Amino acid sequence: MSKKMIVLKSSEGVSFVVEEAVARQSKIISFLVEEFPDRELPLTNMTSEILRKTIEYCKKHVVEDDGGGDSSSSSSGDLKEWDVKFVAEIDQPRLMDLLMAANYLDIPSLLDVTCQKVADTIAACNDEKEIRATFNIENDFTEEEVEAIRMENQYPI
Amino acid sequence: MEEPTIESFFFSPTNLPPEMMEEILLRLPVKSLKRFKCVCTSWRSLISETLFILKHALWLEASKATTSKKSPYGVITTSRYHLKSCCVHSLYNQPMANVFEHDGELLGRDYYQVVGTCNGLVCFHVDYNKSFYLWNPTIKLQQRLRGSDLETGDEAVVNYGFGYDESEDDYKIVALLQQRKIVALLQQRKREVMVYSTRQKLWRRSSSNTCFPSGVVLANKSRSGIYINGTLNWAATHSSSSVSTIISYDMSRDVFKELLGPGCCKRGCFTMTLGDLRGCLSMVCYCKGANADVWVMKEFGEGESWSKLLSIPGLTEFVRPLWISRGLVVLLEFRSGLALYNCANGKFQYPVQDSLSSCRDAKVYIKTLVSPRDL
Repeated sequence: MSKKMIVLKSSEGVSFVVEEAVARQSKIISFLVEEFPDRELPLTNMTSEILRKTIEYCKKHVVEDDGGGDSSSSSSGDLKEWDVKFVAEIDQPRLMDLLMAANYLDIPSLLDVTCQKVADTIAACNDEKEIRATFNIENDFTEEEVEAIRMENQYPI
Repeated sequence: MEEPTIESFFFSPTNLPPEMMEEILLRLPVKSLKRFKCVCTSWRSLISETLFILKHALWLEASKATTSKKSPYGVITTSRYHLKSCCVHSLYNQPMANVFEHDGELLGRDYYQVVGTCNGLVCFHVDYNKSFYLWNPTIKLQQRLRGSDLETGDEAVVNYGFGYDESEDDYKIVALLQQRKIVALLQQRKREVMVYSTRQKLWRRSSSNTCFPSGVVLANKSRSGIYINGTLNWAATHSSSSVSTIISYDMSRDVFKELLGPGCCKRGCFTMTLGDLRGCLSMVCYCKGANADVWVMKEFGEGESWSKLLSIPGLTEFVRPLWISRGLVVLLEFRSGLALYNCANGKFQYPVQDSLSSCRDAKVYIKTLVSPRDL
């Protein structure tokens, strides 16, 4: 039996032909293929690069039904290692894009690994200035507030 | 109403939505949360929220089973009158683990009995003033709570337990008194159960002892209940047959029930202790006096899911496993201290730390910002 394929289209208009089982790891795509069968899905907010990454992740994580069931759980340790490597190779801005993609496509496991990677990046920052620079966050504290926080941190809260 | 078009399901948010920021910050260790409150006002207010702090604690409790990170977890232990803590990561990775002494942080010299840990809070019972203390070793805050009317004496023994009732967002202490001897006339032991609610700030007599399985006695060694999945669990025996069993108290439903022990216990093991091994109920059995077998209940409440994790020959003084790494190195609590045991080659890597010797009541806690004063 041939596998059912669906077409995902990136913001640049590039089409990706994906097995339905792979794409259905996204809860939103799963919903859309039922609501709009046999249509290509325009992922207008995702670049080809991010879409390609997302599909790569989903392909790796698709649960094989025909292999006797347990094939995915037996290698869960390997899969975890693969995940770590997968997010390690992505630079910071693209990691955020991928995190957002995981969020709006509703892929919980991809959201988990990307959030964890961002958290690890934050934890590895030397100080708050580095975090603001890395994540493009504006410092909206007044001088007095900064001083108050500094005092607070000197003592056990 | 207009039909939603396929395009309407996709939009381009320009900034990270706040709920995403929360998802990320939940995954940060306490140390980073404390340090990085000063990044911006939205981070600061989120990290200070009681709800966020609770979510963070629950997230760490839940990820205990699968995480490869050991630094968000610590071991608390008492030795004589001393209170000591040590990071799980440090116990595994440093020949000289960093041990923190907390003497005097709670109160003066006294004998602390660790009742349990939950969401980063450690609950102690202190003999001399008959009080309980909730203490978060990570943020060094404590709260004293009233004692119950139940006391251990010549006639009766009181077992305790501490846990979190998620349905009511309430931390509770359970005190379970049972008479040492059977009352001849009634052919049963007198039993009383009292529950302290941190939300209501009072002890109340529980009617749950009416559903306590009959003919079952808590084991003497089982002074503190093990908190798993919203329940407190004590090792127990059937007094008529001496067969081992487990008594489980449901924190939100306020009922007791019996849990099936691992298969080996049907034959009767002479010692058994329960533990929390990375979120799973564990039991140590000494079968035929030779091996110390560690069993784990993989799906809590499913008697069929007990599986034997390891078997260590020739050990009789080992209490319970505290942690297991991915490389199958187990942190064990002995009566004389802590040690690491490598399942692959059967070797003890090194006895952990002289300064942790003769520790008792070792318990794993998670490092959280939960304040015992805000309950």
